[in-house]
Amino acid sequence: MIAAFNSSWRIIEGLLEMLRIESLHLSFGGLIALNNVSFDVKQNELVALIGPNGAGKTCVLNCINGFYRPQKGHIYFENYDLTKIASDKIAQIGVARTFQHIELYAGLSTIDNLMAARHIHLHYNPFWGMIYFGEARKEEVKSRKIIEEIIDLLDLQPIRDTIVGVLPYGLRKRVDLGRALALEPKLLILDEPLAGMNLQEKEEMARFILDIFELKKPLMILVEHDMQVVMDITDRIVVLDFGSKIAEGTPEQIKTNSEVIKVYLKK
Amino acid sequence: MKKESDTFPKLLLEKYQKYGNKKVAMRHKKFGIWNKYTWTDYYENVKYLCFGLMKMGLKYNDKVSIIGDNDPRWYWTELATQAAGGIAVGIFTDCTVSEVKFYLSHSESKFVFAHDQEQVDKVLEILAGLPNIVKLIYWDIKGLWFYSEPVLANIDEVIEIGRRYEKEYPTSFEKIIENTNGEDIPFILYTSGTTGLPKGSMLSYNSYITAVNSVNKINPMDEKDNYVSFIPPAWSVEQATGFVAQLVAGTIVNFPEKPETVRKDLKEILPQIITYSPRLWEAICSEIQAKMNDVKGLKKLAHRIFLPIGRRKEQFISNKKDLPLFLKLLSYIADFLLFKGIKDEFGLSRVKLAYTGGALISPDVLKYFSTIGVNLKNVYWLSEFPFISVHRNKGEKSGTCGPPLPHWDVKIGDDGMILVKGGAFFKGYYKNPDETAKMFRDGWGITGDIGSIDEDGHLIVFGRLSDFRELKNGRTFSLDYLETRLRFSPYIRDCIAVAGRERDYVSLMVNIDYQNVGNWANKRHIGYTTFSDLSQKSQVYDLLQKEIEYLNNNLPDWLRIRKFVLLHKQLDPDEAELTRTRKLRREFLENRYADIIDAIYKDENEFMMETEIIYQDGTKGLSKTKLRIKDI
Repeated sequence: MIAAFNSSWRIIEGLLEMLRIESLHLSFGGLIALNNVSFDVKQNELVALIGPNGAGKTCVLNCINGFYRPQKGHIYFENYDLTKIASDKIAQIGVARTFQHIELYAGLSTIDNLMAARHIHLHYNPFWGMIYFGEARKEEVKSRKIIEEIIDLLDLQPIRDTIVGVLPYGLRKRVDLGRALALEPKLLILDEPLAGMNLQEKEEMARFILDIFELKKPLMILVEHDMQVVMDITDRIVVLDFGSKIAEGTPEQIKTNSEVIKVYLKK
Repeated sequence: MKKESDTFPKLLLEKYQKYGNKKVAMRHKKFGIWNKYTWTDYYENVKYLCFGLMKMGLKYNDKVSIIGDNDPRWYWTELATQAAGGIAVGIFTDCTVSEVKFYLSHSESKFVFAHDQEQVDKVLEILAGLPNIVKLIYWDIKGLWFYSEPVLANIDEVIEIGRRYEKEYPTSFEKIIENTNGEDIPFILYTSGTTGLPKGSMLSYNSYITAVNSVNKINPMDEKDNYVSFIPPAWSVEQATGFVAQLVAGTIVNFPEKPETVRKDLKEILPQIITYSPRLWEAICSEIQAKMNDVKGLKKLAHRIFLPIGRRKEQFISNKKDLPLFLKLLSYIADFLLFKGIKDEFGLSRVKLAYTGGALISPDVLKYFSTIGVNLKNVYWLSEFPFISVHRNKGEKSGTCGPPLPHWDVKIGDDGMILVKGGAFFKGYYKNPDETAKMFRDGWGITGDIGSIDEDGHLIVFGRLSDFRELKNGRTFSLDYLETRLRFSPYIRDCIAVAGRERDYVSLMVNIDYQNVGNWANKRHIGYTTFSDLSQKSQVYDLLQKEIEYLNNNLPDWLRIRKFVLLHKQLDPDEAELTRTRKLRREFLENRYADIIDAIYKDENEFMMETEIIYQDGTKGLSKTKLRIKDI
């Protein structure tokens, strides 16, 4: 009974804190990918998850998304424990993500990729969809309005009708971000959004991330290797190494944390 | 008898009373949709903005600076300022912070309208040194949601303030407009600044309206005509052919979604009236030629067959001869099968009035467009003396700028200087009486250009006096003359001809066209990494040599270019190498690249160029590139 009370209380706490990761443990056979990782993400706080390659950052994200099932631990978001829900349901709850390796339909245009991401918000039946009338039309127009606002926010107008496959890498990353926003997420996870970009592209992307954070106010987790950007734009940083959390704090605290300096920043 | 409208606000009132909600005045593409504004919408937005500014303290002769992309709100702001008796000052959006500071402090602006976060940030950075500024007003809120500086205001707030203030203001807006005077100054437009600091040129309402009316009588605009507002509104040419022309003729002005979407938006509107700078027409010409050179199969065949037909037609037209029936028929076929597609691609298929002005353009570019059925009209224009001459419809003649317009007297001085006198005179440079005095000679305005008038009465402009050079052999020529002709090549983006009394021959520094030369290199499997790398490839040098030799074949021996070098970086207005309208800052360039010029005339084969680079985070680096100097 006490355990049930604690679990319920944590769910309520989860509502208040919005995302709470508790004692996450993930292993693949004998390999421990995550070892007792706990942290939370609050409203109005941009949290970065950093660590050397292989530290377990993407494993944390995959557990949130439901791609991996941790052997132990909980992930509380809204009034759900995400470790017990299918990944498609997790998306419907309001969790969206960008990927390290861009996951877009290369043969579709930018606008079609973004519209495709709206599928979880479209509820008309195939009959109305076939004749594009009534509810189908209303929902499509509403979706198109939302997508156009995202296009405006991310300055994607020049490539609205361009096939994504021919776009330069930096622009495809931006379209991927737009695709995630099209889901109207309550929790937005950005997995290395600046990877492979030059300085100008990074500055633009950082600006878009901050614009999204200020305007849409989702919970945000940023996984990133560019320390300059992480230190500049985030409010709190969680540091992983070999699957364990080794530090957590503000950018100023992390910069001077001896463990982090030893393990990560001097590598 | 009804008095003619002699100010822009009066013209707006006239059009509002004539068209009201029945006619579209503007379209603006936003969120992928063309949003329409009728003349009523235009009028009311101007009215409330005017009242809002007056409530905030705008008074007669106060300056209002506007830094923004082409947008209806630019036009509303400008007219609102003018209706209140204020003076608008246009600033280019790509100006650096120091340039913005110059314009704001020199003009003593009281209000600044800044398009978006980028422009707002520039002004906020220098605000402490601009105590005159009362309000900084923006119209695109993206990124500004949490800015809390008290000086900031959103344009919608100002309009709302104006809506309330109108109710308490003792005079109607119509009466306020009536009080505007044709001899007042509507805006201060800063010159390009090719030599020295930009100067704030002032003309009266009457001058501009006279000039535009004059052009409208010769090349009439229709109220159904569409114009796409694309070139910077801070430029005097856009002010005349877009802003003022609309108020005079009642045309429809269309604002593209973003500068990067202009090409696509042009294709959706297919305007009847279009004005580009010479650089832009050259860039389009280069792109067409480069693509035509690269096509294969049927497209190549069509190009080979129909381009000569277009050229033949162009020769008949320029010699004012009637086309033989057979050639007429072939021209229709050529237009249908080839030229229409090209024109469609650039939004030119419905153009009836295509203007180029503000600088010299190569006659080859004019001929090329005439060949494909776009009759470019050269406008001879200065910020100080608008619309001096322009080609008439079906009277285009390459190599000239058309006959002078009726409101001007034009003569050629003994020194070859083009002198003007007439009804569109400028009132001087703002706060610069010394420079103003230099613009007049015995009551005639000095254009600064050397020219002549041909047997058909067309004005021929050879170039700026300051661009003329004398060689050691005593012969004089215009550097601009060579440069405009060389820019006809699709592979040359820019070039700087070099000569002087101490020099035996002309040499050239060239900026390659990165895109076209890059495509050329790709097709030949010539690998390269950066602009610098591509520009120094021996194959690229050979390519450019052929282009220069083509021009040389049409020049007298003493004028031929003997040596050239391909510059390792693109010329950049942010580095003060070009003006904001992409004209060369010749003196600055000759100083900056003095070492290269020395190496050329010392007969060296190469030069090690060291350039300091300042990265965006402030760190500095040194770039070293070995530049080849090639003989022709």
